[in-house]
Amino acid sequence: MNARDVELLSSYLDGQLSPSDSTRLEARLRSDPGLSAALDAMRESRSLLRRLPKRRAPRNLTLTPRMVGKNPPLPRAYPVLRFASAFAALLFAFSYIANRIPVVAFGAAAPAAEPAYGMGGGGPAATEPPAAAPEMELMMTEAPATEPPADFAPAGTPAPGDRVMEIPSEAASKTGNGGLTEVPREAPGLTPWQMVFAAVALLGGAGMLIVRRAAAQKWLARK
Amino acid sequence: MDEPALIRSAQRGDLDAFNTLVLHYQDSLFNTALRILGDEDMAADAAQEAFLSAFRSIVSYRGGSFKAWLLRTVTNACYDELRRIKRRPSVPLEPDSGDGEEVESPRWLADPNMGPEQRAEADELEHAIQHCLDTLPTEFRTVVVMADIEGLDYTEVAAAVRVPLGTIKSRLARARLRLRECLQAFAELLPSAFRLQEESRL
Repeated sequence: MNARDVELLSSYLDGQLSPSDSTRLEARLRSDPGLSAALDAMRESRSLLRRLPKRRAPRNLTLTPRMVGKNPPLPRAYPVLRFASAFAALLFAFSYIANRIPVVAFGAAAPAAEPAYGMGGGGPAATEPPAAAPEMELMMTEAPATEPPADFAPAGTPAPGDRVMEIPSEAASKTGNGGLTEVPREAPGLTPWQMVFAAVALLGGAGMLIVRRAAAQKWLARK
Repeated sequence: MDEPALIRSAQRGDLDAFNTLVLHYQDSLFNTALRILGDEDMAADAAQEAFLSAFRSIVSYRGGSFKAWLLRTVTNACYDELRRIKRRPSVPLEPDSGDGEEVESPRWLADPNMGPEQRAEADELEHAIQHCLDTLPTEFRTVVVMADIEGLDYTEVAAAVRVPLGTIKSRLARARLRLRECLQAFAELLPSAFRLQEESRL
């Protein structure tokens, strides 16, 4: 019996031979007692293996969040909020800059250009006042005072993991942008659309924070 | 158990969904690792490692038999374990021929001339079978464990081991032949009436 025969017998045992090969082998098995005995022996060892007791795992092999170094799972609404918020902030920035460009062009005043850049890059709010009335400064101090605590508070709670830290800062930048959007609300050029964009950006940012915080709390409670 | 839905959830990072799959397959993975490694503690560690690795790479699962996919991860974990053991000379599993080349089949483990005391130690059929499995080269053992112990079909084994179907057939045939030869050394342990009873059903 050669290696080819061994393979034929093994495949025959598992019903893996083509009908024609099976017929041919069966004819040989009838005339060759040695081959037939080899088939029986192989069948027996296969049966022995099949009869081996199935051992059960000595302990549960489930994974813990710690083992997988995992952050709390975020609901599916999260990416939607993130997109809406970012998109609205972007639209607001563009429309705001677009409205300001003529002023820059005709006014040709250097300070007037700065707020435009400041808004576009989400830059420091301090660039705003030179172009604005003194009462705007009041708004400026007000805006950061209300926004940042809302942003930074949750950063501490879903502590484990890098992503946790990353998103709130992302949210902070967005709501920060939103914070800036509050500023020109009193400025004459703010259109209703701009107000809608600003509101969406702000609400989206706030929604992200709430959703994230709820997910973290639920996750920690379950652990 | 809605396996496809659980897999999809796990692919989105849902650990609970993945753990439901773990509970369903843990015995199978452990048993496979046990038959490949021959040691319970190592097998539990390998199965645990396999699940961890499976969770991390579950996004790469693209359909087909999920069990075969999981068995592939546990096989890899077992190979890692075996490589680790081989690096420790105090626990030789497979001897080399003296010139650095590994002997394909370490027959010394299945020495038919072993003394009655040693033979008595392997007085359980299960031990005998495990002993014979241990004598097979790793890739033969893996195939025979998947096909004959875990009941995977040829296609699933081929997918799990990632070798062509023809190679699976030939490895399985040779593994069965070697097992048979090895088990003959334990002939007195084999249930005599079992042979025909078992096969009359097949």
